Amino acid sequence: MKKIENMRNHIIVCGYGKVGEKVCEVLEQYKRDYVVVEDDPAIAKLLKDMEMSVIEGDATHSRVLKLAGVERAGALVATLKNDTSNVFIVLTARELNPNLIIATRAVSEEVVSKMHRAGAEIVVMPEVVGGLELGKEVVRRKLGIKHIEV
Amino acid sequence: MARLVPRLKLEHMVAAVILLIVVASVFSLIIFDHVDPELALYWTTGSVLNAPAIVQDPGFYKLRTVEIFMVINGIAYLTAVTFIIANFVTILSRVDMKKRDMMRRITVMEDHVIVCGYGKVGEKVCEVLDDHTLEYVVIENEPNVVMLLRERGVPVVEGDATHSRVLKLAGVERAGALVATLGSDTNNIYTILTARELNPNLIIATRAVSEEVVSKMHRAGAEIVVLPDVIAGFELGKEVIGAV
Repeated sequence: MKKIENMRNHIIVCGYGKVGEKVCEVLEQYKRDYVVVEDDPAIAKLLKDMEMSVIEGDATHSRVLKLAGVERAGALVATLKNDTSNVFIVLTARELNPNLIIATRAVSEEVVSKMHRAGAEIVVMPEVVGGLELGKEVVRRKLGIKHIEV
Repeated sequence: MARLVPRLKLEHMVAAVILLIVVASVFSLIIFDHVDPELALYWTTGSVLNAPAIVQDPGFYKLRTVEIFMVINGIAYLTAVTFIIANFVTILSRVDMKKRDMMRRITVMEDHVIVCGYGKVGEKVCEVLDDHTLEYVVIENEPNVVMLLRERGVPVVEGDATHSRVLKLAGVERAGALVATLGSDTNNIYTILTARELNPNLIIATRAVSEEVVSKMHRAGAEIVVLPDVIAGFELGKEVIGAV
């Protein structure tokens, strides 16, 4: 396990739920250095046992982000379930590092513009993407259409 | 609750108009016809409350002011009665007719889509179905959401989608497809199992949170399984890798 203090241009993943887990899997595949910020002690301990770099704490606090090396990081991914927390993380991270690439999850479509204004380059909406996919598949089956434009 | 505000305002307006008529009538009787203030108030109250016996003075009805105010009074009464009846009818139709109407609409539906759960995912599914003008029924157990959907004229059954009775109310036996969008994997699996039992020809699509349940969902009878969180995690990871 690489020390966080020695990491440069690494990726910070805020939140290790289903989405965060998948993000880490992809980063692992591409052999990227990453740090997970998670505030559930049980999950944080599990990740530490798995030899992953973890900071236990609330990612909306700038102190916690600094511990994860946000000033030296190359990118940050906010995957919390709560839109307001994610917006806050994006704002804090952008303040601490103007060159950071920031990606975030969003639940509601209305917050996308706010996320961009707060400083996020990439915004992904799991529920919206999933809902569209489910709807499209059902319509495709029912109407027997091959390709559907939505 | 928001709907109550304009209704109250309307009633306030009617009350204000009546009050205005009383005040204007009293003062004009005093000023133009030089009637005693006490008598003016007495006459006005008598005629506003529709008690002709109060006004015994034969000179009363000859006054021009009285004539004018009788006409205004009549118009105000008509308006008030119309508003009250109109309100009464709208309240009735909103509460009862819409619900009964909707249940009737659902019972005649055939080959429709049943959407279980109206969260973010369910909302998006309904949008797609709307785009393709497919008929659908929503099953939702949050009363506030149900009320909102009913107001918008969306066919909705209130209840837990894992119960076969609720699925039957949504017409699962006649339906063409079912989409389970609940937030919990176990609830979605249970819904799939129940729906598959009730209708072997149903197209069943479901949301899944964990990757481990995908095979279980297929075994339970779902043809289509979508993992929103996994898709999004992949997307976020890939985008970040591409950008760094």
